[in-house]
Amino acid sequence: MTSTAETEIDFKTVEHSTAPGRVTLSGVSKLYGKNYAVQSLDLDIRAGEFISLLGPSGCGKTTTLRMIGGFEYPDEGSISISDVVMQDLPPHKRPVNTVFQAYALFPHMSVAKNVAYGLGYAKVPKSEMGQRVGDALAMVRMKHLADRMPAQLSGGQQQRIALARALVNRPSVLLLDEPMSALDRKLREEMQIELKLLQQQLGTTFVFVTHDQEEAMTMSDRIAVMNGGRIEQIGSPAEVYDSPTTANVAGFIGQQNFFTGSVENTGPVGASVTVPGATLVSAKAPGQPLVKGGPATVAVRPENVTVTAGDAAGPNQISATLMSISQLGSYLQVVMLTAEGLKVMARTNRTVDMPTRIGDAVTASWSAESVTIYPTA
Amino acid sequence: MTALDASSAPGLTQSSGIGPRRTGARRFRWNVGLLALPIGVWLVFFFIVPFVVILWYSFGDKPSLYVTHSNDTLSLGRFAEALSPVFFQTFARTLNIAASGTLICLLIGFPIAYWMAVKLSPKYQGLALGLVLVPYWTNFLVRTIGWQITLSPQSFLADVSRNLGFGTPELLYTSGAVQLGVVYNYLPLMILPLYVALERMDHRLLEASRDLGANAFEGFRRVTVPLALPGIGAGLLLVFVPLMGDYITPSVLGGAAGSMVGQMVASQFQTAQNWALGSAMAILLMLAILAVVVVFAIIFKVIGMVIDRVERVNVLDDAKGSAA
Amino acid sequence: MTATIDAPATATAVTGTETEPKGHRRKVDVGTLLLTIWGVLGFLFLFFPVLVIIAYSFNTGRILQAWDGFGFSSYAAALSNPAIISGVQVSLYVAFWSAVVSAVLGSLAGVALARSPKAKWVGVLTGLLALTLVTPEIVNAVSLLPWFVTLGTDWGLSAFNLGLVRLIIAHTLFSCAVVTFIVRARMAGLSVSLEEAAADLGAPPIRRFLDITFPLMRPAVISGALLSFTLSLDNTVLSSFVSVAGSTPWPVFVFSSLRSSLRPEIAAMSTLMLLLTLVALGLVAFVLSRASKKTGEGPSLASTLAGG
Repeated sequence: MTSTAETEIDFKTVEHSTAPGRVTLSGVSKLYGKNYAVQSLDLDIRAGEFISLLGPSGCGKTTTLRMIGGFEYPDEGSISISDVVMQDLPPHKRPVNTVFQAYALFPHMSVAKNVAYGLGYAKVPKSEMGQRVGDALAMVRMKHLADRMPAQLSGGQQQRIALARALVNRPSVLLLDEPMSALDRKLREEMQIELKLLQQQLGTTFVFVTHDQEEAMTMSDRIAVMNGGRIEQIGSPAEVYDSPTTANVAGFIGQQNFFTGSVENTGPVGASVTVPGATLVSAKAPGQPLVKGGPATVAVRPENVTVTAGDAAGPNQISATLMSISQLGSYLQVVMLTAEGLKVMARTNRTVDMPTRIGDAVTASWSAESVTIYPTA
Repeated sequence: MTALDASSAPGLTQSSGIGPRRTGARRFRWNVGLLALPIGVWLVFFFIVPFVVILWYSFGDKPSLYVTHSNDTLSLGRFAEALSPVFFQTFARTLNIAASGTLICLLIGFPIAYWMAVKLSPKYQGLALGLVLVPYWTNFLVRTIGWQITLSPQSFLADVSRNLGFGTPELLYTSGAVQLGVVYNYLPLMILPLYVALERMDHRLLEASRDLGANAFEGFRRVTVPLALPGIGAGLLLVFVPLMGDYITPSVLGGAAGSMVGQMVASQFQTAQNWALGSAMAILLMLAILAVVVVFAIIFKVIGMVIDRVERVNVLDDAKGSAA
Repeated sequence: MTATIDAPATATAVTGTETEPKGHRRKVDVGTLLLTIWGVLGFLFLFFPVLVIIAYSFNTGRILQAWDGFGFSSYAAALSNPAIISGVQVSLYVAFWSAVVSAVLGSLAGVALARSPKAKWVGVLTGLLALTLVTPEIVNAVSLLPWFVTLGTDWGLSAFNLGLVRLIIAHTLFSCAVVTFIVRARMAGLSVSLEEAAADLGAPPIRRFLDITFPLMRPAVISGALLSFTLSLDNTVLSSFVSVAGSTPWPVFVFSSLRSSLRPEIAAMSTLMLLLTLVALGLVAFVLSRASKKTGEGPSLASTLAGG
C-alpha cells in the first residue's frame, strides 16, 4: 500500500464511534412507469464492508442506492438497516448519509456551515459541533478552506467537503453515488486509494456506485455487477475478474476477446467450441450449462494471449495477420486479424522472437486455463 | 397506508409475503404540486370566470337605455351587430394596422437584433439590451405622448417645416400616426426574442457553413434564418397579439381617422353602456386574434416542413448520383 | 464524389478561394457598417419620445406641446398638485401590494412547476399563465369590470367595490405569470439533489424549504416582485376600467387629462417616475448579477425578461 504521507487524508484525526450497519434488501423492485428499474433484487451488505454496485448506466445501481438512502421508495420488497425496517422512512430519519454525484454542496453556505448542517439536526451540542466540524475538515485536509464558499473550490476540494459533510454525522452506512465521475483521471486514482484507506480506518459500511470497473476493483471488498435491474454476479474483485459467471459480466470487467461458435464437446470440467478457422478448448467449468451443438461465446483475456511467428498447430491457436502494435505503459498491445475476419487482441511483453511488423503472419495462442465458455442466449 | 403498517412492525424484515404494494414514482417529498393551487384558484376566479361572464353577456342584449345588459332572450344578434359595416370597418382597419405594424417591426427589428447578437462584442451586448429595455419600461402612455408632442402642429418639427416653407404638416390624428406609434411601442417586443434566438445560435455554425462552401448570403439564408425562426415566431406573436387589442396608441395619436377595435370595445362599456355589444366585440377580437395566430402557426409549420423537404430531396438526389 | 473527375473546375475553385479573403473582408465591413448605422438609428428611434418628454418637462408654458421657455416651474407645480400626488400615491400603493401578492402566488407556482415536470396539470397551468400574458389587456379589462360589479353589488362583497382592491387584483393577473416564469427558470437551474442532500443530513421538509430552497430562489422572487412593481406602475388600460373615483392611479390621471389638455406637470412627474423605474430595474439587475456571481450561474436579466 502507498504511504499515507502523500495522500490528503489525515488519518490521525479519524475517529468514528457508530457501529457499522448491515443492509439487507430482499425482493426489492422499483418501477418507472411500466419498466423495472430494479427487479426482485436481493442483496446483503455486510457490516463494515466496502461494496461497489457496478454496471452500465440504466442498470439500476443508482436507483438501488437511492432506495437505501430513502430518496425513492421501493414498489415491492423490503430494505432494512441493521435489522430495522427502513423502506418507508424518509431520508432524514435514516442512519445513512450520502455523497452525491455532483456533490450537492449548498452554494449559499460556507464550507464549515455545509459540514455543520447535519449536526444541527442530530442535536449535537453547540460546544461539540465546532470540534466535530474541525475534525471532519481536518480528516480531508480542508480545514484551511472552512470559510470559503463552494463555488470557490475545485472539483476535488468540493468532493472532499462532500465526504466530510456526510461522515461528520457518523453514519452507520455511507452511500457514494459515482462521487469521482467529475474528477480527472489522476485525481481519481489518488482519491480511490484515500477513500479505501479511510473506509478501513473508520470501519463504516461503504456502498459505492460506479460504472468504472477499475475503480470498483481498486477499492471494493465485494463487487455486485448489475445489469437490467438485477445483480448478475456478486463476489470479491478476484472472483468477478477470474470467473465471471456470464458473458455480460466478463465483458464488463476488464477487456476480453470474444469469439462466437458452436459447442463441439462438453464435459464436467472443460468444453470445446468450434469457431471459424480454429477450435478453442477450455479447461474451466463453464459459467452456465452448455448444450452440445448449441451456440456459445468464448472469452479470452488479452493478457493471456501470446503472439508468436509461425502457423497455428492445434487447439487454442489461431493464424492471423498483425494489424497494429502499440506500446501502452509497460506492455505492448497487439491487434491481429484472422483470414476469417476474427479480431484478436493481445497484451504482452516484448519477446525477442516476436514479430513486430505490420502485416507479419503470426499465431495467437493461449492456454486452456484462460478460456471461459458461455452459452449464447 | 400499508406503508405505515410495514414500518410500524420492525420485526417484518423478510419479504416473503409482500406482493406489489403500489406502483408509480412515489417519492420521499410531499406533493409540491399543491403549491400551484393558490394561483390556479386565483386565475380561475379572476381570469376564467370573468371571461365566461362576458361570453354569457355577448349572447344577450341591451333592453333599455338605463340597463347595461340582459340575458332574458339569447341570440347571436350582438355578434351580427358587431360585424355590421359600421363596426366592421374598424375591425378591418385594426387588422390592417396590426398586420402591417407587425411586419414593419420584423423588418426594422431583425437587423437590429442581428447586429446586437452577432456584430456587437459580448461586452456591449448587455448594455445594448439594457438600452432596448429602458424605453420599454418607461410608461407606455407617456412614450406615446412623446410622439404626440412631436407630431402636434405646435411642435419643433412643425416649426422646422414652416421655416422651410412647407407649411404646417398634418401628422397627428391620422392612421399614419397610429402606425408609427404602434411600430414604436412594440418594436422592443420584436427585438428581444429575435436577439435571444440569434444570440443562442452557435456562431461556429455560420463558420461551418462557410467552410462547407456557402457564401455569406447562403449562410444567412440556410443557417441564420432557420435557426432564428422560433425567435421570429415568438416576436410576431408578442407584437401582433397586444397590437390587435391596443387602445392607448390610437386614443393618443389616432383621433377619429385612426380608431381601433380596442377603443370601440371600451366605448361600449364606458360611454354607450351597452355591455352585451361590448362583450360580443371583445369575444370577436379574441377570436380574430386566435384565428390569425392559428393561421400563422400553420404557415410556420408548413415553412418548416418545406425546408425539411427540400433538404431531404437533396440528400436523396445525392444518393442516387453516387449509386449511378 | 463525381466532382473529382472535373479537375479544371476544382482548380478554378481553389484560385477563387485564394483571392476571396481580401475582397470578402471589405464586403463584410460594408455590411457591418450598414448594420451598425441601422442599429444606432434604431436605438435613437427607441429613445426619441423619451427624450422629448424629458426635454418638455422643462417647458415653462401652460400647454405641454407648445414650448415656451426653459425652467423648473413644472416640477414645482407637479409636486404641489394634490391630484397628481394622490395619483402617484395610489400607483405606488397598488404597485407594492400587487408585487407582494404576485410574488407569493408566483413563487409557489414556480416551485410547483419546476419540481413536478411530468404532472399532467403542468401543461394546463403553463398554458393558462401564457394566456394571461397574451390576452389583450382590453379584453381582461372589460371582463373584469362586470365581474367586480357582480361581486361587489350583486353578491354584496363590498371589498370588491374598493378601487384599490380592484386595481391590485387586476395588476396581479399578468404579473403573477411573470413571477411564476422567473421563479420556475431559477428553480429549474437548481439541482434537486440539494434538497435531497438536506434531507439526507436530517432536515425535515419545512426546514429543507427554509434552509435551502427559499434562500436559493430568493433572487428570482425579488426580481420578479420588482418587475411586477414596474409593470403595475405602467399599467393604464386595466386601471382605467377597474379604478373608481377617489383612487385614480397616475397613468389613468394622465390618460384622462388627454381629453382636456396636457400640461407640462405631466412630463415633469413622468420624468420623476422614469427615474424611479430605472432605479427599480437597476436593483433587479444588481440582485440578479450578484446572485449569479455567488452561485455560479443564474438567469440573466435578458433571458428572464425574454421568458427563458
